[in-house]
Amino acid sequence: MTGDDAPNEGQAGERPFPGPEEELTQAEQLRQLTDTGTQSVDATEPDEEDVLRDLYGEPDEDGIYRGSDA
Amino acid sequence: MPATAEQQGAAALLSKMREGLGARGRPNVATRWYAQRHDSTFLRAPWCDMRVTWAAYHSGTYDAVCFGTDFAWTVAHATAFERRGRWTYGTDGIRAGDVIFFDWQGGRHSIQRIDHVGVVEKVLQDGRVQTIEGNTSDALLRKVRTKATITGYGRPDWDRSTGIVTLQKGDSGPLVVALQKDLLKLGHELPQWGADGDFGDETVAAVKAFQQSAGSTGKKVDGVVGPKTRAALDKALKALKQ
Repeated sequence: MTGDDAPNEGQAGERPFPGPEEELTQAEQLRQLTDTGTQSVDATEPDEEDVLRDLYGEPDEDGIYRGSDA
Repeated sequence: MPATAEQQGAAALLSKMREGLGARGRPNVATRWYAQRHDSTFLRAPWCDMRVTWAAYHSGTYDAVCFGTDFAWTVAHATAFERRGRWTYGTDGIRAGDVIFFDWQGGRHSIQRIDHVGVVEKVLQDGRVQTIEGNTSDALLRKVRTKATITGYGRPDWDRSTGIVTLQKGDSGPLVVALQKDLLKLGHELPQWGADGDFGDETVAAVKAFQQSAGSTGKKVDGVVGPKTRAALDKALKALKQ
């Protein structure tokens, strides 16, 4: 629910919302935070690099597509 | 034609999302800021929504994007959009600046199953979107996403943007173009570069000239466009029309 960088911690299920956000404390938000696995690898589009290269030119030496506006 | 609140807000939000593109790991600028406001545990917590909240806060779009609440949990953030009638499942009508939510298990029709969040930078011709996301492989990256993993998106309430974004040397983009056009309208010169969108030395000089013409002296003539200079610019432009 909050990113995709850590080892997969299992299937994400229904996560009931505890109440209006106005009443949601930061402690409650913190309690809900888990990295949600490596699925991003699967979610990444196979032609992503080509699309980003078309939009922003060649990546820098770190592989970051910065373009002229970043 | 003046830029709309949405154009200005989206440009400001995206400009902040781009800042530090490629930054990796935690703590980082967003988690440090969030932890300082709430709890040190956030320093090393999953940070995709902290990044969106940070960018909104620092771009004058906090009320438009976060409705006055700091969000770290994506489900709470998406619910906030839904409760205000600003939520859409899927991608129909999606635009740059929309806050986009993902479900790695397949974009199910359920806010409660959301895993991740980013901001739409471009809508691609083939129906996909190009986004900027924090905490993707623990980094801030541009990504290309397909409908298969998109739960839906929230449309910020752009009319709630304060529009007060400090502009200074080194900034670039549509907000700088708008500033440069305002300076030109007011008779200040940008002889070499014109309204090119880059806040360089020439724009600094023009801003300083405006600040002096508006009565500022000493250290207040700094070439930085903050709330006071922005207000003075707006006042001068209004007087110009009358």
